[in-house]
Amino acid sequence: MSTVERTRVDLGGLMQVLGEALYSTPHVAIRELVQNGHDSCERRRHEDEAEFEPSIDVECDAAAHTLTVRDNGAGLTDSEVRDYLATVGTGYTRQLREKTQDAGLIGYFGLGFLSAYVVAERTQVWTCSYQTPDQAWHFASRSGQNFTLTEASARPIGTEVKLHLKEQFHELADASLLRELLNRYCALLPHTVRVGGEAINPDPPPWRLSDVGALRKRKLYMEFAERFETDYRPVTVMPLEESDAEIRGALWLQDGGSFATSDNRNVSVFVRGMLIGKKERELLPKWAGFVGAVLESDVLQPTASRETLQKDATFDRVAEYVREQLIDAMARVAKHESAAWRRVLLRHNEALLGAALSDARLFDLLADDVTVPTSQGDLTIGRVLELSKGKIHVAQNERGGFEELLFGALKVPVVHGVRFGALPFCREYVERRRGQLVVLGTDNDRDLFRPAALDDEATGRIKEWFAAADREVVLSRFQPPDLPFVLIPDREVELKRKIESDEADRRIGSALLGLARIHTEKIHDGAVQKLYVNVDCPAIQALLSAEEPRLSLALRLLRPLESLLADTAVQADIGGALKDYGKALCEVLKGID
Amino acid sequence: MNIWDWVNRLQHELAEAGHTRVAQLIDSVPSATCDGNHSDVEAMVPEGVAAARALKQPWLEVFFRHWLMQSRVLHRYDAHYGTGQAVELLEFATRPETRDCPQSVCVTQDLAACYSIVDGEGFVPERLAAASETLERIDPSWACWDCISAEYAGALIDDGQYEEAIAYCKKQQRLAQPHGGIRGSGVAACLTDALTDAGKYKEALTSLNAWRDHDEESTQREWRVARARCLVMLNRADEAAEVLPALNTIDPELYIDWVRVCAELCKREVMDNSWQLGAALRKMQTKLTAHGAFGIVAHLHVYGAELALGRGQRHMAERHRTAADAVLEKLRRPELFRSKFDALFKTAPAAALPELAETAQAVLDGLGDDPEADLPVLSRACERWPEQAEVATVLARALRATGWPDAAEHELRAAFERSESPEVLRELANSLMAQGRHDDLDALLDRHGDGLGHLAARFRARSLKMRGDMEGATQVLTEYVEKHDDDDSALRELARIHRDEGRHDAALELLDVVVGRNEPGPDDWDRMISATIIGDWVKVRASAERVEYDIESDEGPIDEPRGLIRVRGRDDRGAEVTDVALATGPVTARVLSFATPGETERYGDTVVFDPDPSVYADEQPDDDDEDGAPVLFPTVTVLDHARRKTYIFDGVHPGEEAVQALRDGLFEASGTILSVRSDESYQLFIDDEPSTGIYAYVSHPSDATPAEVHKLLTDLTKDWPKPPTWPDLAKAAGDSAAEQRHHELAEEYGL
Repeated sequence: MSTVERTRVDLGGLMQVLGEALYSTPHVAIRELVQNGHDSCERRRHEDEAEFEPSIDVECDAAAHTLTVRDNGAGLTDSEVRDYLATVGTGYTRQLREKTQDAGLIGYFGLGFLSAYVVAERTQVWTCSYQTPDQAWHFASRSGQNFTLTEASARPIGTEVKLHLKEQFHELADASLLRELLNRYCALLPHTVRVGGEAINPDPPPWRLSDVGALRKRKLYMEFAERFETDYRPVTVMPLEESDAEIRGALWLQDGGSFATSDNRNVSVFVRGMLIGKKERELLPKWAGFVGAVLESDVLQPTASRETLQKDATFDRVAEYVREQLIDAMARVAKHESAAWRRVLLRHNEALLGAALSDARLFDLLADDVTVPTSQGDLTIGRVLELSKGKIHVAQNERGGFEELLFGALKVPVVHGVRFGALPFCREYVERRRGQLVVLGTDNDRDLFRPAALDDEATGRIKEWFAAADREVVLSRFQPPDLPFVLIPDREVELKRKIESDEADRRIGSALLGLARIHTEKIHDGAVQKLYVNVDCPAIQALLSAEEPRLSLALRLLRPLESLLADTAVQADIGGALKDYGKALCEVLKGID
Repeated sequence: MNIWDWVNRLQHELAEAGHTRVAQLIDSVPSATCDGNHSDVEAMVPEGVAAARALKQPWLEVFFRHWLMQSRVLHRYDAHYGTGQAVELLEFATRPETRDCPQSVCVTQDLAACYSIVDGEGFVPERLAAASETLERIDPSWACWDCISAEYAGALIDDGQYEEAIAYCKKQQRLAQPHGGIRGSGVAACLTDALTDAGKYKEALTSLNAWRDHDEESTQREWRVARARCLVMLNRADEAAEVLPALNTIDPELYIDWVRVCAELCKREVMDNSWQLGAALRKMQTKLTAHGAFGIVAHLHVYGAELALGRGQRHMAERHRTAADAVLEKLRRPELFRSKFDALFKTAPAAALPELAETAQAVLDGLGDDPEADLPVLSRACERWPEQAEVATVLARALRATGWPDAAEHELRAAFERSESPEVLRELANSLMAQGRHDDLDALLDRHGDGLGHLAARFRARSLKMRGDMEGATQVLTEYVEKHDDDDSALRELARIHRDEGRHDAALELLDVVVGRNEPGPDDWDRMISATIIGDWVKVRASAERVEYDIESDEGPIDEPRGLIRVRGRDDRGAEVTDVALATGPVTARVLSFATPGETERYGDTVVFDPDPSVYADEQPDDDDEDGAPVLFPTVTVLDHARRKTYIFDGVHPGEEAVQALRDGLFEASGTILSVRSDESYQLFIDDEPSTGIYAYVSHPSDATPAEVHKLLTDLTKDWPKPPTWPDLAKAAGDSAAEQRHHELAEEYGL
């Protein structure tokens, strides 16, 4: 007997929209069908008292462009075919789960079978329910909108779905592709899945094994991780707490160098045994660009396509748990696997520097091991402090200016503050641990110049010698003594002058300028430049005891150096300085004549 | 107007020209900002700005600095650093060479946002004027249309003009329609906010659909908080709790709304109105106070008071009101907040005076696990028993736990003034040092130090050490022990500083004194360390005898194998290295691990270690684990560098006998060590035939030359069926022909 009937939902364009919009790749159709087979086996386990060995067989015929998924699960009666197979959005699995509270069931939305129509031009189903083992049915449909349901010849209990693939999806009938896909998708399914007769999930994941020695288990974890990490070999694998009921799995640190901003987070998430997707990077913290993970959790909720997860409070909670586990695990590696840890540090120094900055616990773990770039090569902060007697000097510019002279002479390393993470890391280190941060070119580098006092006469003379417009002359002492002075601008005062000038009115809108001036009004007006004169410098001392006309000549020789010994932020007139110097030198030579 | 077009083209050009790093930063900095990954933004921007300057690309500098402002100001609400930098950026972005850069428009938002954070309500007219002025420069085809319009709408909302804000948002959206609509989420989010503030919750919930699909992580979180606000007001509290993101995932920009949702959830008993929630709010305030976000802090004081009253802690609500006074002084419209406080307290019941137990100890014994609830009784107990140091310290801890460290410090200072109790000092000094407030500690010790003896000297020294001033720390303790030479713990501390600074003579001198007047024990081990380093073997033997460590020899250096240990030191870069070593004396060991070729070799180095296993207590092997790693000790210094050189030796395994012959031959002739690192799993395929490989390190002592070892290896392996390779050693030996041959072989073997 054969009947042609309308499907009970008005599908029309909806079918196409749902099917094509729901899934990002046709590969998902195979996963959905295997999952249906799996749930069918689970159903039979729950409802049928007879013993059976659940299995799902996937076969393909490349020549005929067909793909078959066969299970020995519960099968369907004719009314169930109508109710579940042919009604979109009303799968039986959800009802069964609610009835049994069984976490082994995968399906949720009753949409899985829809995916068959996305890839197949004709879909056939043979099924025989355990409830009516003497009666089998054959369902056939082209687009999903109409179907035929006929009684079929007797067959074993279970369901067989055969897809006649659309031309653009012929590739799905490739055995090696199927094996590769299902190897990932079904790696954690408890029931045997075979492709072309060969089981692809014979071994359960390591966390489900209990009677295995620690060393063997470690090896199994490594092999397991390698299956999921195709681009970077894991350096070390870190299992999650196996006792945790909500989330199980493994994390690993990747080999292969990373930059600070490389994001190679690789996360495979399984919910109820089925791979949801590899897009859930956010389950790992952002700093973990060098970490891979396989996570299995039944508390996470997939979206309808089951290719992504719903971002809700549970997701946040799992992400937080994973982060804590990752940090604990990294701490264990640091302690117990020194070779692996050293490798991780060398490979991912920049990324770890960023990581340390984003998480206090990681900072504690990494602070003494990551290196920062300095004028003496990459060094840990501990070594920098040792070489600089408790200080960390950080340059905010590429080299130049007086800093190069100063620190070259002192032989202390200067951290390249413009390189990734260097300055914030140094700052954090000083705040949390020890040492003193000297950021060159800011107010706190004034500590380099200890105030000095001379008698009034000497002070007056020095100030007079080096006076200039908008300049404050400050007597000080600093290393090395060969440096007579250093010229440094006061950037705040400079900003105040610029923003409050008439020229600013011409180029900045009045409302905006008004806001800016609210800020600059609070800045104290002073000299734009400070010249720190080193009273320890023999040349300065000699000047104080020199007499005319030598004194004037010497000053003319010395003053052009101001431009050369200026902070890089000072717009120095080097050409003019050299010219003045040349002229002064000529006069000296004339004097000698 | 595609405001990103220029940067996309520049990025492409930079990548083509090999400036891949800066090209990558052009992507990474905005992504990190929008995803809330702000520590990365801080880490990357200096590099981007330096590159822009080096490449003479002022527009690119505006780009990076603007994104830093977005991260600091818009997301992190940092007006403290932000305002000055936004003004600097404004000055830079309006110069002739930068003013045509589209991002110079964005700078408007950066600066206006600073004032919305400092005092949103107070600066409404200025913010509206700045946004209007900028909108006149652009049209709705600019992406800036969204941001600047949102800035305008935000000012209206802060002013309580919700209906005007709703109308404005809709108008701006309408104006953008002919240009394909607004792509950003700014105006849409403001519309949701304004609708919620206006009490139109259903409409607000619907309005969320317009911006639900923005995939920047920070927008997603903003959306979730906005949705939670609508849901909770619609009495769908369970759903609201589920969608509300965790506090540690959100940026300060969402603090207020997050707290608002929590306050409503608490009212509906879906969230626990606990002291921990109050403490979390205080943490937000601390951060925002440092950021100069006074307007936001004031709002949070109101919510803090409301929540505290909700849990029946009027004293805490009052604390918030009092603390708010100092903040309100900085705001232009403080009356807005005062009226809110007045309304809250009007209906709240008065606080009852807590009952006190008979004794201070009984009060302390009666405390519960809610420090907030304990505060009133502790405050009273402190007044009643002002001399009881413990009451003051427990009160201070309760204040710190609930988020009031300044009040805790105030209590401690008052208690210290009253009692000069060492216990209070310890608490206070530790707290000051933990905050890095060394100058305050100095001032405290200057005032009170004399009566505190060693404790004050010790705190001074510790503080100086933390500041990196080891000379200062030495001086403080030296001066102290000169006056108090009977204080052994001060002597030990000074000896330790001497040791850390490499002044082992000075350390030994002090330790001699301490050892002389104490029972055998840890002091002897410390003395053996310093004595070993300076070669005073008599003293090493004397202390060894005291602690019953048997030494066979009677004089001179001690080199008596004792067993395997692990030692942990630092390499040239300062990074940690752990090696297996053979203990050769009470505090000496010889390293047996090989470094990876290319790194400085440590094999054969003699190190002095600190024989205190508790330094790495949690890394020591279990007593019953016979196969576990040996006990781990910290390395104090390297006494003698063996300066060996190590090279890789690789090839086809010739059989165990031949390898043993090579091993013996190398060692006998030159002390060179062959250390095989591979096992049978190392398989080579030569002409598709599998054979077991051998991968080893060849390490020669400093008195052998690479040339000698190269020749030796050549001779000793000449009969191997397949010649092995050591290209790096051949190179070091200067034999370029052999080096070339070894490289060819390596290729043939597929090494």
